[in-house]
Amino acid sequence: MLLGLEEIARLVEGLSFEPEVFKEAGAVNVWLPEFQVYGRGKDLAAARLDLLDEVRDYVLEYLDEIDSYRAAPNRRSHFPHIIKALAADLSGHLDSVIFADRPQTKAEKGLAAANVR
Amino acid sequence: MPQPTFDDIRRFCEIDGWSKKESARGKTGDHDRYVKRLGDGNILRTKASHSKDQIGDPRLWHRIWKEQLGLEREDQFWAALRTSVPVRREAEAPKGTPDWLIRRLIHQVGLTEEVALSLSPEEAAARWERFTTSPRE
Repeated sequence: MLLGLEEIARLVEGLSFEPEVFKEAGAVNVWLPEFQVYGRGKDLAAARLDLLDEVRDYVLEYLDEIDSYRAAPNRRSHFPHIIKALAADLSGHLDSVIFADRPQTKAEKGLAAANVR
Repeated sequence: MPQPTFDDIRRFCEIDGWSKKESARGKTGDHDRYVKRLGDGNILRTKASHSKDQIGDPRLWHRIWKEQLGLEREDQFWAALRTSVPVRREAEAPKGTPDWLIRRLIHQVGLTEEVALSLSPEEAAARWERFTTSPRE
């Protein structure tokens, strides 16, 4: 059985990434807890680009050594996110998947509706 | 405790027996990359920028020493730098060499079954690490 990119993306659509930003003097860092990697740059845009580079590298490394990474106690839970990142990158959407906006809360939806009126 | 520089992280990796690794995409980049396989199967990864920067944010540093370097306490990092002695990780008590590793050593590295089985888990992990990080002909 072969699965297309769309089907794979649908299988992992419930997963999300939650990058965290750390600002320090002269540098910005973005940590990705799902893979325990971070990007660093002089500003947020550069740090995000560096993180995308790290993610691509990690996904390849994971798939290159999939037996050992899926067996590693501290790496096996990364597998669904690896698939999500791979599918997103192959379809040209890695950036928007890693840095996706979080779903609106009820309060935010209510606020948005109130502002429309 | 002070905030570390990337040179400190590089030196820690050397003392703690990490392997230097090329990026999976073969790029040289502006980081050194390191990996360490523990006897319990955990795989640690980190990177050290070529810059002389310090890691200025303590929250990021906390994630690095705990999640990338696999330490239980920050002082283990500074103790390794001070004494040049690798960290003793409690969780490393090995139960045996993983089966997948024995198969890789035989079928990909080319060791005989007898040689592969004679290696300790740490030796087997190091042998596989050498194989995966050395340039291919």
